[in-house]
Amino acid sequence: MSGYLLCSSRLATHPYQVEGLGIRIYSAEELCYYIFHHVQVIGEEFLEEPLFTFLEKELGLAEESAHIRKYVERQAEFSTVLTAILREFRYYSDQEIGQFQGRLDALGKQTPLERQCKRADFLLEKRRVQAAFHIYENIMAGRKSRGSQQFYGMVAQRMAVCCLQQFQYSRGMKYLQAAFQEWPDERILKQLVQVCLLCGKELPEELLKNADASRLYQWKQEYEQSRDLAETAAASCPQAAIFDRDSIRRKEELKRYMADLKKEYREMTE
Amino acid sequence: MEGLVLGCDLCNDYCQISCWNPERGEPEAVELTQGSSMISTVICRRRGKEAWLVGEAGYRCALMGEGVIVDKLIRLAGKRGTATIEGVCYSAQKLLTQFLREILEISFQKYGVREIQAITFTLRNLDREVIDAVLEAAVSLGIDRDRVRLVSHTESFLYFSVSQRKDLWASLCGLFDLNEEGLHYYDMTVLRGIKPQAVQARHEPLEEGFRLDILDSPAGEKLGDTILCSCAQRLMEKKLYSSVFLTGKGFEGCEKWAVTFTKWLCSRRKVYMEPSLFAKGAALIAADGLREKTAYPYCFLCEGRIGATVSMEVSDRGTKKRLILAEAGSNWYETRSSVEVIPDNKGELELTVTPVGSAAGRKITLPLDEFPARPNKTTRIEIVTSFSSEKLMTVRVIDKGFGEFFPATGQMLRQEIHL
Repeated sequence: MSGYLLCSSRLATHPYQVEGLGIRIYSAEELCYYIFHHVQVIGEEFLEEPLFTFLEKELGLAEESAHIRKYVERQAEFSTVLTAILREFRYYSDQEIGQFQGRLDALGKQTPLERQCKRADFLLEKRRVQAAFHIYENIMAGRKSRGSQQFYGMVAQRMAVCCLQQFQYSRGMKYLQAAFQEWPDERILKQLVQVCLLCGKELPEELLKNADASRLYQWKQEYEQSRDLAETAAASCPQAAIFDRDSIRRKEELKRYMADLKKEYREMTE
Repeated sequence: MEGLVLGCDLCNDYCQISCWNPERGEPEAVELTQGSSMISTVICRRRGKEAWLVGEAGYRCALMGEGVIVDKLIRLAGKRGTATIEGVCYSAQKLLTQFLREILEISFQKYGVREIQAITFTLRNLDREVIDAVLEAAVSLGIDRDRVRLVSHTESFLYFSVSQRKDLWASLCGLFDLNEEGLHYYDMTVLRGIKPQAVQARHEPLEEGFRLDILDSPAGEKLGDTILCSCAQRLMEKKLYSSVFLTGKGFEGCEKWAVTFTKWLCSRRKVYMEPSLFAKGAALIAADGLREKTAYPYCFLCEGRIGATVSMEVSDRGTKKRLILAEAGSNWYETRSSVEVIPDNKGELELTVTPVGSAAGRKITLPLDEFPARPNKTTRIEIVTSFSSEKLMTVRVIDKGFGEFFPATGQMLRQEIHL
C-alpha cells in the first residue's frame, strides 16, 4: 500500500503520558504506533479514563473515544480493545493489524511469568533499567517453584545486566554468581570472568574449577580486544572533540553533554 | 446583524460606492458629490490644521490656496509612497485611510447607520501591495478583516452580469470602460458542458485609450468616436452579444459625441449605460457573501480567481479521497490551505493541477528525500499552499517528525508552481 494518510486529529497541547516509559503521545497516529510497537508493556491500566480524556479533550475525537469506550464497557478482552483502537484510526493496514493480532495471540499463550519477564526485557532493551530491575525483582520474590531453574537463572542474569549498566559492578557480580548457581551456563561464566577482569578482581575459587583453562584464556583475550577497541573508539568519539574546543565553547558543549547524560541516567533509573 | 453592505470602486481618478438595498434586492449608487456617484480620488489637508477634504471640495480648497492636495492615492499606496505636506510626512497608507474614512462617512450619513456588515473593494489591478494597503486601511477604520473582500474590476463585472436577466448574458456580454486611465474592454461568457457551470470574464486594456480632455473640442469628439468605433468593430465583429454595457466618466453624454460608435453598438444588441457598474458588482459580491447559500452557483473564472484546482489523493481512515488544496474559481489572495499527512511508502509529494474544463490534470511532484530517513509512516508533514497571483502558487512542506518517537526537524521544502 502507498499513499498519504490524512492525519486524524490535531496535535495535543497536553500529551498523554505513558507512565514508566517516559513516552509522551501527541496524536492518534502516535497512539497507534505506541500500541503496535509496545504491546508487551501495555497493561490493563492503559484503558482507563486518562486515555479517553486525552482522545476527547486533547485530540477532539469524542466520537472515536465513545466507540472505543463501548468495548471497555462491554468488558471486551484487552486484546480486542487494542485492536479496536488500531482499526478506528486506520493508521495500520488490515495486513499489519493481522500481524498485530498474531503477536497478541502469541502473548496471550505466554504464562504470566513469561509475560512479566518479556515486559522487563522490553524495558531493559529501552534502557529503562530501574523499571526492568523492579519487575525482575518481583519475579524472583514471587518464586514458588513455578519456573524452571534455568528461567530463574536467566532472570538473575538480567538483574546483573541492570546493575552493570548502572556501573554497580559488585552488585552485578553477586547476581551473576547467583545466576550461575541456578543455571550453570557457560555464557554466564564468561560474563562473570569478564566483569572480574574489568574490576580487577579474582574469579571466585569455586567458579574457577568449572572453567576450562583454554576457555578462560580465550575470554581474557576477547576482553582485552574489546577494551582496546573501546579505548580507540573513545578517543575518536564526537564527545572527545569537545576538549579540543576553545574554553567558552568547551564549557557550553560540556554543559550540554552533561545534561544529556543526566537525562539518560534519569530515564534509566525511573 | 444590521449594517451597511457596500461595494467600493477604488480607482486612481475616481471612486464610487454602491450600497445593497435589501428591500429592492439590488445595489444602489451612493451620491458622493452633488448630483454624482463619482468622487475624485484626491485628499486635501487644510493649511495649518489637521483637517481633511476629499474630492471636489479638496480641489476647491487647493485652488483657493487653503490646502495641499495629494492625488492618485491608489497608485501611491501601491508603491508604499509618502507625501510631505507642510513639513509633515504622511504615508500613503495614512492618506488612503483618511480618504476612505471621509467617503464612508458620506454613506453613514445618508443611511443613518455607522456599522458595516460587509464591504467589497474593487480595483482595476489586484497587486499584492495595493491589496495589503486597502486591507490595512479598512482594518484601521475598525472594519473586521472577515467583513472585507477585494476583487478585480473583471470580477465585479462578472457578478454584475450574472445578476442581470439571463437573456442579457445568454451569449456574450461586453463592457467598455472609458476613463482618465484609459479604455478597457471586458467580456463574459458562459462555459457550457462543465459541472459546476462556469462563467468566464476577460479583460483587455486597449492601447487606443485617449485622454478625456480631447473631448472638449468637436475634432476631439470625432476622433474619440472614431477610435471607439474602430475598437468595437475589431473586438466585437462576428461575435454574438446579448448585451453591451458602457461605464466610466468618459462615456457621460456619449450619445451626443460618440454617435457612430453608439449607433454601431446598438444595431442588433442591447446597450446599457451603467456608470456605477463596478461598485454595484462589488456590492453584489458583498451581499452574496452574507448568504448561507450563494445566489450565483457558478464557478467564476476571471482576473483574481484561480483557474485550476490543486488537489492530492489521500487516505482518510482507510477511505481514498481527493483532497482539494485550492479550488478553481476562488480568490487567489484569500486562498491558503494547510493540511497534515503522513506519507506511506512515498518518497515524494504528488499534487494534481486540473484546469477548469479539463478532465485530466497535470501531476506535480516534490521530492521529500531531503527530510531525515525514518521508518515508514513516521514522518508527519504539513503542506501549506498560498498564492502570490492567480497563476503562481507556492507550496511549502514542513517536517513535523512523529512526536517524541522521531522528533521534528522543522525542515522546510519550498516550490513555486505555475498553474
